[in-house]
This record gives sequence, C-alpha cells and structure tokens, in this order.
Amino acid sequence: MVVRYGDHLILDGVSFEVYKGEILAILGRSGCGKSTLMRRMIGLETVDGGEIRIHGCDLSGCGEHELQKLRRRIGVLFQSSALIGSMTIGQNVALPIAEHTDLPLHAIHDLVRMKLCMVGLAEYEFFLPSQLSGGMRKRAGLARALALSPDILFLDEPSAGLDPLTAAEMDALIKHISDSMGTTTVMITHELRSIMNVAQRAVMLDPEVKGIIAQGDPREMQASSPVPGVRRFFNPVLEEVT
Amino acid sequence: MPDHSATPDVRLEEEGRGRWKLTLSGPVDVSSSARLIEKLPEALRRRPPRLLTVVLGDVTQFDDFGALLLFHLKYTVSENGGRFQLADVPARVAEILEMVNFSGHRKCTPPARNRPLNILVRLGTSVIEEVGDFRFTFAFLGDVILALGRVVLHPRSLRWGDCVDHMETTGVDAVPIVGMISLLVGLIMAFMAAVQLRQFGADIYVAALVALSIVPEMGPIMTAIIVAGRSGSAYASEISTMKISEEIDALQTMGFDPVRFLVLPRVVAAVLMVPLLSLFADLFALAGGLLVSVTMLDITVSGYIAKTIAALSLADLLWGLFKSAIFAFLIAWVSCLRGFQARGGASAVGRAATSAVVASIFLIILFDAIFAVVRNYW
Repeated sequence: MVVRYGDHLILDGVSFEVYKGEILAILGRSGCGKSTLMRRMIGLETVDGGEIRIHGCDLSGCGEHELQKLRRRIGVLFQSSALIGSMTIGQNVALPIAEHTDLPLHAIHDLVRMKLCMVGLAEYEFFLPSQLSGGMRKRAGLARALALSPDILFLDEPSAGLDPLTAAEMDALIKHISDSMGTTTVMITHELRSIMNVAQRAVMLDPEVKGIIAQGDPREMQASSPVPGVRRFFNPVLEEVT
Repeated sequence: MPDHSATPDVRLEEEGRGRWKLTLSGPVDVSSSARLIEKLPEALRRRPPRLLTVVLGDVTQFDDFGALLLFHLKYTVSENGGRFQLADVPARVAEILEMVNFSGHRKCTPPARNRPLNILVRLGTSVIEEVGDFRFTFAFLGDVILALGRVVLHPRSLRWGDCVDHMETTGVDAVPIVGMISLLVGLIMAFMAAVQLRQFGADIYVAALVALSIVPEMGPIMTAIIVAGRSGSAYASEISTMKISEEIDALQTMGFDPVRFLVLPRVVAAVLMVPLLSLFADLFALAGGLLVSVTMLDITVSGYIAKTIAALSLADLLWGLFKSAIFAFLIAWVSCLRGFQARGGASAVGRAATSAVVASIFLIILFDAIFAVVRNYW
C-alpha cells in the first residue's frame, strides 16, 4: 500500500500478511507511520495506492454495507482507549452488543459482566472512565474491543504509558485472550518488553525507508538481524543514539 | 470470512428420572449463541430437569457468547432446583470458562449501585458545592479585574496578537449576522408602529419610536445576545477543551497565569468590539425603520433622519455604548468562567457552552433591568 498526506509520502510499498490466530506486532520508531497504517487497516481511512484485504475483502473496493459487516468482526483498542466519557464502563461495553446482536437486555448485562471479568474489571461496571486509572481504562477499552468476540483484534499501543507491572499484566491478558479465543491480533507498539512477551511475528517500519525494513520472529530480529536500523531499535546504545 | 450463519447441532435427550443430556456440537459462539439463548432455557423451563449434563466434546468454536449460553442454562436449571454439570469439556473451552469465572467460585458480582444518599446529606453536599462555586466565581472575577488593572498600567503585558485574533472573530466576523438581524428588527418595529400610529395620523413619530427604542435599549441587547450565542459559547468550549485536556495545567506549570493568557485577550477583545457592533446594529435597525417609513408612510428620507436626530441625544448613544461594554465584559467573563469550571470528558464541553450562553443572557437581562432603574431614578 501507499499512503500520502498531501505531497508528503508516509508509507511507500508496504506489503505484508497477517495469519489467522497469530499475534503480529507492527513496530518502529515514532513517526514511522504505525498508527497511520492501523487507521487504514481498520478502514477508517483509505490508502492512496494498493489494497488491504481482510478475510479476502478489499477495504477500498467494498461498499459501506460490506465494510460495516466486516467491522463487526474487528475489535479495536485505541491508544487513548476512546471510551465514551458520559457512559459507565458497563455501558461502553454493552453499546456494540446491544447494537449488533439480538440478545435480550438481561443477557447483554450478563455478557458485559463476563467481558469485564475477562479483563479484571468486574467491580468497575458502574464507574465512569474518568474515575479509572490509565491501565484500567486500557483494559476497559480492551473489553469493549472484545464485545462482539472479534476474529481480529487491532491494538494501538496497548501498554504505552503504563507502569512496568501494569504493562506486563496487559501483555499477559492480550496473550491469554488471543490464545484461548483464537483471535488474530495486530498490535502496534514500540514497547520492547511487549514485543518480546506477546508477539509471535513482527513487522518493522522505518521512517526513512517509509516502508518495511524487517519482518519475522522478533527474538531472531533482536538476536541476529543484519539490518542496522533493526539492531539499533532492539539494542539501543546511548552513545550510538546520541 | 467465517460462516456467521453456522448453527450448532443441539440434541436434548431424556435419560430417565429427570436426568437430561444436552449435546452441543459445531460452533457455539457469537454466530449462534444469540439464537439459542432464549430457546434452550425456555425449553428447560417447560420441563425442568433434576440434572442437566451438557456435553461439549464436539464443539468446534467457542467464545464468551458460548459461555453466556451455558451460564443461562445453568441459571435456568438451578432456579428450578436442579443440578447442572458439564461433560467432555475441551481444553480451550475450559480455558474460556475459567476466564469468565464460570465455575462461580470467583463469580463476578458487581457491587450494588450506590443507594441514594439521605436528603440532609444531599442538601449539605449541594450547599457545600454551591458555596465552593460561589467562592470560585468571585475569586475569578477578582482575578480578571486585577489582571485588567495590570493591563491598564502595563499595556504591553496583554497578548495583543491573541487579542486582535479575538477581535476579528468576535467583532468583524459577527458584522453580517448582527447587521441582518438588526435590519429586520428595525423593519418589524417600524412596521408594527406604523400600523398603530397611522390610525391617529401620527406616522411621523415612527422615526422617534424606532430611534429611542433601538439606540439606548434594543441595539445593545440584541448585539449582546448575538455575541453571547456566537462568541460566548466559543470561549467556553475552547477553554473547557483546554481544561479537560490538561492544557491549562500545562500553562500553569510553565509559569503562565491562565487568566492573563486566556481570559484577558477575550475580555479586552469583547469590550472593544461589542460597542462597535452595537453601533452597527443601531445603524442597520434605523435603516430598517427608514425603509418602512419611506415605502409605507410617505415620509421622506431627510424627514426621517431629521426626526431621528431630534429624538436622540448624545447621552442616549453613549448610554447604549456603555451598556454594550458592560454586557461584553459579562459575556466574556462568565463564558471563560464556565470554561474553567468544566470537569470530566467531552460532555463537559457541551455543558460549559450551554451554560455560558444561558448565564450570559441572564446577566444581560439582569443588568439591563438594573441600568433601566439607575437611568430613570438617578
């Protein structure tokens, strides 16, 4: 795919596949176009060249109705969690379930409690997002992303801004959900710890190349990548950076 | 794409003495559970089993929607005094059931909603909140007046660049709407007056009536209400957005006084521009009156202008401009105040904007009433 902002080229010739059930990390330095890429992958914006296919359906080619159907099979956790501030955590999670399923109200309530149990927020159903910590908001955002039991989960910086312990808990939660539910997970991050803990495969973008400079097992990339940019990312040395 | 119309195979068999076996196979997930969640418990309610065994060995797909179905079966059976058990549970299904605490050992029971507080406690809380708001309001007013005083002593301390931007948005950009509304009000006022005064042959007094009601009274009020709706809401939403996104905290930590940085340019811009807008409003409204008088009442243009000048005094004009300046201060002050008082998320921005407009209009009317009394008795 190709992505431009005006005359400014952001991504040029980026091409990769995500396999069913895997956890793929898209990583790279700030400004390399990770979030730009994700916004295209979830169909919020269109690419300027090329195509993105989900379950074989081209996002740019399919109509709005098709896209809506596809979106029900996708869960997204935004970097800021993007919870609706005027609704409780429970209402936030219930929102897509009530809209897209025929479940009766009492069953929706039970399901919301289950989703909140899954992310460890069972006791916070009636709290507003503003009453929760950053880590809790991320988990609530994850519960909402999981509301319709999606096939594919997109996570934008799921553990950014969290303390190491909370970040590790979030990583474990993502891995646990992906393993047990068989969800395909695409995770955008530049947290080394998350990449190593969670990702089975990684795709690395570079702001200068405006595309992919490496892809594969992140542990192998860290240990033996021949690409200098990849080595520096995984093993940052202060003298080299400065 | 997965087949979301797939249905699981459901087999309910009686094994004798109230023991039932329910065998689920195929996908028991988001694609199928919603359909079963009403039907299966209903079937069990009609013939409540003493023991229900759910066999899951042939389940191919399972998620928390599937767990929800099992939850409902379990509740239905136990509600009717029966027992529930799972058999032949695949490892992945067991893992999901564990995640949602199906077993009930760590059953999710959210705390009950907070009970409404005692009326005295609520009254006390609301009084404390009101007193806090009252103190903040007056402290804010004091801050603004002090900061204005500093600007008078040290004009360079004002951020003139921001001030000019606000003068443009508050004043220049509002000229078309103020002009249009004032012209129409002048037309309506002259027309209504003409209909009545014509009966007594007093057509010529239309000019005086329009002039005396517009210049010291209606012009400033109309302009102030338009500015409250246009600029007051904008001030409140800009500042409340900055407040909830911690931009104001950032300014404070950088050593800026938020009142001087954000409020003063708006207050000064409004106080300078609203009287000018009011002057425009007067002119357009008088032009509206002139139009009706010339076309309907056979009054000449020069006759209308002469009667208008005779009816008005310089004091009327200055009084109208003075009131406009005070209204402008009130609008800018209360709108910025509402912005600073915003708490919470996106809805707080809407509340701040609404509250700014309502409070501005209330203050405009209140002060206009005070001015009317002051002018008549002093």
